[in-house]
Amino acid sequence: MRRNEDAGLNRIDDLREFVVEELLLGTLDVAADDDLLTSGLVDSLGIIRLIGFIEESFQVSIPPEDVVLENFLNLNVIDQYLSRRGG
Amino acid sequence: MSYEHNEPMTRSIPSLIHAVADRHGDRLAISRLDAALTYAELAAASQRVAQSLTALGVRRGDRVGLYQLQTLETLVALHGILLAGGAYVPIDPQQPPARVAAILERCDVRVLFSNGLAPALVDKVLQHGGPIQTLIGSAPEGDGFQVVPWRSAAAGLSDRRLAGVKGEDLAYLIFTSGSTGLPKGIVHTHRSALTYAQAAADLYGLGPEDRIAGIAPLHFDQSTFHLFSAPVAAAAACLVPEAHARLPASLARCLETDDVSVIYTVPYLLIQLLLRGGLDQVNLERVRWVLFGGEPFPAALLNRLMARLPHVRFSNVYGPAEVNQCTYFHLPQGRRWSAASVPVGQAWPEAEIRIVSETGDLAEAGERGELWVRSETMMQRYWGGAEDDPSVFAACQDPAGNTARFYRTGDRFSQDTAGRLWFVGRMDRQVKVRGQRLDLDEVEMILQQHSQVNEAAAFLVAGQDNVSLVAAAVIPSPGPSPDCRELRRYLAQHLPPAAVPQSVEVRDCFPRTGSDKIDRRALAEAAKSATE
Repeated sequence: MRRNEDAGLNRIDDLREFVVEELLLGTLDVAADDDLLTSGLVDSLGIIRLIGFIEESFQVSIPPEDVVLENFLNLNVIDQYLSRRGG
Repeated sequence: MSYEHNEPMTRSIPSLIHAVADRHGDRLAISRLDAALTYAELAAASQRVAQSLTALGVRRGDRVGLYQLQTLETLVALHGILLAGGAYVPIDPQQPPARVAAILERCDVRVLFSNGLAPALVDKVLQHGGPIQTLIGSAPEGDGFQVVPWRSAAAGLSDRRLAGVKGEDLAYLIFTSGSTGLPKGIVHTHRSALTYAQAAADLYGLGPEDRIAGIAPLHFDQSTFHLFSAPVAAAAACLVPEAHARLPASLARCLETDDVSVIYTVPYLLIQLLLRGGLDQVNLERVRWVLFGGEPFPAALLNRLMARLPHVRFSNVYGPAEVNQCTYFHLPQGRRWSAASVPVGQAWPEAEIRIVSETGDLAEAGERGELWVRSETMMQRYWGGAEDDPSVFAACQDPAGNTARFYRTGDRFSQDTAGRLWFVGRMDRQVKVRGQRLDLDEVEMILQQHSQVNEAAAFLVAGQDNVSLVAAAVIPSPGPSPDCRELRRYLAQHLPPAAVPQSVEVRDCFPRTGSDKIDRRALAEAAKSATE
């Protein structure tokens, strides 16, 4: 259990680093429950790049129909989605 | 069709909304997810906002900022601003705060709606100082301005009096990238907005049964279609939340759930919908017409989309934000489009066009020239500019000997022998990235202002899914060399996100053309082969 929590934290940190450094270029910080999409932080091309990053970093393939708000609202939600995918 | 058509010359947007509310008050005006407003509710709610704005000192011609996502409240605020006699200034929340502050300063925005936006963003804008006296929304209290909660602003007295808005009054200012580093404000009046709204409603046969998808954000001129053409036809605008528009599968579901009948958007989003939207899992039977514009649609992908939605009509729409729409091309239904590109078709009835060759004469068929447009849908001027600025407008004699004012689009056009118009490029270095207008000269200029940059070049490269991306290369100044990340971070503080290069290559020298100009084409080729 403990290991899984650590894995989750690391994954959220990895996601956060990508979003903050690569997509937002360090201009804003992002908390794990900050709304990425509705607040206008990340644009559509940013989402495509984020998916590419996730697929490469966590060795998962994300089908297009999974790329919906319910799975990509914020970093926590993305992490939960990846856990459900067996990550 | 144009049953609401009664002298748009003297009419204003508020009087249109009230006319529809009087005749069809219980009809749906706007919906967004599970929330909706009828025309009667929209008229009443915008009256209350207008009263609050008037009490806050907003007068005819004042600019009021809309710095928030497109919700029902945002559209109530927009119509409240217009009813109070103000002009709305929509601001892209994705612009860097310094640029937002520059726009507010430029048009002396004293009242700003910022409801629902991340407070950190609003705070960063306000740190730049500026003319803001009242912030409507949730924001930290600060020095020199008051904060009015949205609920209070929305609870003004309901009063039927209009501010005496005239057709020639300012309605909205849309800011777009220029080559100078300062965004240009396109000034539209109630008359230009309504003339466009009526002409578009006529061209696409909009009626009360239509449900128009509201995808374009307010700072993008395509939004005037769902904002103003919908009420002209007493139709409904179904707002697609920004977040849904960013995720193609969510966008597809939203279009299905909202039962939309007309869609107007950029090819980029339609391509995403085709490739990633899971279109085989949604029912878009209600859609009757898809309009696209803002950038060329590669014919191969367009054909795939048309084959996927065989019951739908498709039209290519052309027109810079300065004139709204001015030409259209209806694609033949049920057939593949065999050419590699799609023409922009013919001028619509509202517009008079000329293709002017380099010699200043009218271009012959097949000859290239700059497109000039004259239309009632045309902007009044750029904010801070003159109505007769010769770099923007050309004065020509019409057959009756009167001086006619044409907008010089800067777009290179040709007309084929069949009379069809083709967009063939730009006169300057303006480009479209995902339908957004950018200027590569501005990217270079801002890069060159960086202390470690001696010379800079910006150019387009092709990315995934046929998307054009901005890339750049620099020759550093003597001393420590800058790195790509640092340069991109610097650019992100000055440019809209779509204009920030995906990569900045640091080089010792640039390839040059024979005339010693930077060979940007060679740089783009090099960038392309580096990623392959």
